[in-house]
Amino acid sequence: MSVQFTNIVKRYGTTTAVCGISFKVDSGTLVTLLGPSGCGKTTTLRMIAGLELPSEGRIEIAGRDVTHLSATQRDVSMVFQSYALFPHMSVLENVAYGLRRSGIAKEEATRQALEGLAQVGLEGYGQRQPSELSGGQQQRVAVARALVLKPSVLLFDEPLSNLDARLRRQMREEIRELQQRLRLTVVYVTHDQQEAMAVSDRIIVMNAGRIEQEGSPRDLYERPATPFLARFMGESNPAKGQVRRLDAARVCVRLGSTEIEVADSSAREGAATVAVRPEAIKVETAPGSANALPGTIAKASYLGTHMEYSIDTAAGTLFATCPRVERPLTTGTQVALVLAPRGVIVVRD
Amino acid sequence: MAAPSSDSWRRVARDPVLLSAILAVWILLALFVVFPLVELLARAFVDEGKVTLGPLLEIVSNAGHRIALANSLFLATSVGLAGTALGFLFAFTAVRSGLGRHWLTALDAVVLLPLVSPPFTTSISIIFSFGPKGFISHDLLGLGNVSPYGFWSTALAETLTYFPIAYLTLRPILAAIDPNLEEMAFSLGGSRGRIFRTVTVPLAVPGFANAFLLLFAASLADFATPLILGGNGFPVLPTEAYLQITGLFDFKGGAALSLVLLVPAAFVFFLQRYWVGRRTYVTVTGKVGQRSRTRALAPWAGVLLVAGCFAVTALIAYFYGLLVYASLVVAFGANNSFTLAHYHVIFTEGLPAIRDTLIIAAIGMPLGGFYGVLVGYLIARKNFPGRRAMELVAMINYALPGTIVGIGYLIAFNDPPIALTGGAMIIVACYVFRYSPTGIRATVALLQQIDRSLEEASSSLGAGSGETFRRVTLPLIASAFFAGLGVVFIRSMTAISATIFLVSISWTLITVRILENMTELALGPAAAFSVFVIVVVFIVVAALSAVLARFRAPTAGGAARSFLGG
Repeated sequence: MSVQFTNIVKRYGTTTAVCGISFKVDSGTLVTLLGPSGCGKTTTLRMIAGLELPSEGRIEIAGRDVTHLSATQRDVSMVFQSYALFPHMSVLENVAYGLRRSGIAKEEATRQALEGLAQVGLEGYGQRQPSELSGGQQQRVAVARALVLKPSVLLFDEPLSNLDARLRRQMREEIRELQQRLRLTVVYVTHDQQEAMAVSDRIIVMNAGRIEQEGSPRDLYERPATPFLARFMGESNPAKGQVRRLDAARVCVRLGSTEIEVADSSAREGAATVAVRPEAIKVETAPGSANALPGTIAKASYLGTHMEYSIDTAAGTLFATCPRVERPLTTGTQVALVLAPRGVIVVRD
Repeated sequence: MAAPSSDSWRRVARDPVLLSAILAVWILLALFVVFPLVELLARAFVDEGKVTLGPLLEIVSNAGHRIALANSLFLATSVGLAGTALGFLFAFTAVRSGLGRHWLTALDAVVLLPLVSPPFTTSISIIFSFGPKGFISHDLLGLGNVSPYGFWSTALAETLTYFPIAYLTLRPILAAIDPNLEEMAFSLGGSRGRIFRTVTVPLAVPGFANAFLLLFAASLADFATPLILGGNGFPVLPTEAYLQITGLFDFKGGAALSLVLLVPAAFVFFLQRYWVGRRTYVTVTGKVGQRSRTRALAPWAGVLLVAGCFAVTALIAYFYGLLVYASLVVAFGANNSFTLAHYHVIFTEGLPAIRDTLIIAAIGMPLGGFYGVLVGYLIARKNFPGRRAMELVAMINYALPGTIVGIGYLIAFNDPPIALTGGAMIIVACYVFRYSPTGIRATVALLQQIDRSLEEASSSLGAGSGETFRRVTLPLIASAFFAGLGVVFIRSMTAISATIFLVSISWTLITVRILENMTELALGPAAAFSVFVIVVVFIVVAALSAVLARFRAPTAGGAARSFLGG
């Protein structure tokens, strides 16, 4: 059951929240809309749900034009950020709500609701009130409530933002596991890049109402197309460099006194912005190898699992992480930096 | 939000339930709010097809009417000032004197009693106390031939009846003033009196203004008290308009007189709603500091406050005690032997009035409750063209003095196409559209606290807008629904200013019977009727509160207070 957006525009009065986006979500995949707050991702999700109607464009779900259908008429269920459990109904009544509304008899609705609760690991919680459950359990009830309707598309709006860090990891694994087990078509909204990478088949990165780039998590991390993406998808150091093409698939990037060969088929020759991933910088004591970039430690912090360094170099101040914590380097130490090609990315200006 | 775009039109047009609800509300508003008001204006200002200011000029040039207008304004100002002062005394005592919880509950109960009583209660007791054979004037002070009528008794009765409004307005404001502000001033070396003058009072200024305006409007619109206590020497506008219509059958003059009242009433309404109502220095941040018992109150001041409150409370309790006593004796002052004759009278001769009142209240209650919730829901939750206009129009009958509404209904529904005069429905309609705005406001306030995504979840799960309203929204705003029911019921039992124009031979009301009893000087049955009304109102409010307590809506608390709004 695919979702297809064609040239969708959404305006509120004079402001434009979404400016002409097109994308496709394939059946049985989990696609994440990722972006900073105010980028239009939630508006996009709500347009799939039918809670907002587009100002222009066409929406198809499972091959059917639903552009002008209301939320009630669409075969789509949404899990809300606040869970939106009905506080005056028991857990079972909550889960059975949608089933009853679609005309299923009470016994059958109850049976399917119990099945749904079992699917999210909440057997025996049916008679509780939502207020008696923990945050994670409420989240599961909200998922079960949407799931039992067997919707064409299941939507998640920042489902983990009200949970603490540990629970967030567990819940995102559960959601991914459920999606793959039941082969669900899911559209998922988050502003957390790590969460997006952990759950998604594909990620659509949005910025200021437009699609910035879409692709697999690996594509986006390793080949961000714009400086915005390089910053947004994980941490990176913006540096000024010179690009020289070696052949169709490789370029040579010059940063200060060092040169790195990078796999790249599209970068143009000349001055360019280069994103350097902090984990791709190997910090050695000077003088180091011949092709290393010399620098001075400006700041050093111990974070338990790794060290963080700020290093002044000819290519600018670079931020690096280093797993060697047993022999930390102190401020002022002369170092030589070796850059791993995988973490050096030429981005368009 | 931008102006309603074509989006909202499209959305409304696609949702038949929503569309028909909006249309239905507009038709009702047009029929029962706009139409009577237009008819009233037309009656007053259109003469043989031409617009004329003649009737209005006639009133202004009539010395008697000028005096009535001046009296009305003077009375309203006096009641506004005295009531605000009294309300502040009670609110400040409740918040600052450190009285125990039970004492505060008792204080609340006595203070709120006048708000749920029929309009003549205090008036009857004042006549019993200060009349020629009055308990205080004659029996205690030995004065003969004292008249209980005129400005002073009217002002006293209205102040005691309406000061709870000031109390309800000022108490939350005083309670929300952060004691840290006062402690800070204290630590900077201010004296207690100085802090009170320079910190506490200035912070409460918007509250004072608000309370004054509400009291001013209530007194301006009050019809029952001056009718009984004003006497010939102190005519006011609402009573003049009433006499013009019932005494002289001069509809045009009555309409014009009532409209003179409209000018100050509308002025005060807009001042209160759009200027004072939005100014508050006290903000609720959710951040609760150390709420140490404030030291800004000197011990002697605390004692004085409690003593002042106690004195007023005792006066109110005395008035109500007197009422009960007078209903149980043959003729208060003349023959104080025990009798149930007055109750026998009201349950035999007075039975039609009791029956009619209860029937009308029983019909109006669910209609008013449902109407209030529906309009509140549309206003708070739906984005449709004309939403703000609907909000304003729905408030009109509530804000207008009852005299205007009553005369408007009388004129509008006297003749075809919609002849309702003489029936029960005109009284029901009057109550529903005049007293449901409390339910509307309670609904709007409650909905603002309920996350919109609950309703979105419901529609995303396949429920239509009607079903979502019935199964999700309505249960969550049940407390506002019952508050709306309560207010419509209380007012159906106690109101008179509008409905006095609408009663007929076949349908009459307890309050109208009380008035008739008073003019016939049958004070015993009047007292018995009043006691009966108070008991019924108390039972119904207690029952509604019990129902409310069973609801597990997240914000059921605080609804009890809205019973008394308006």
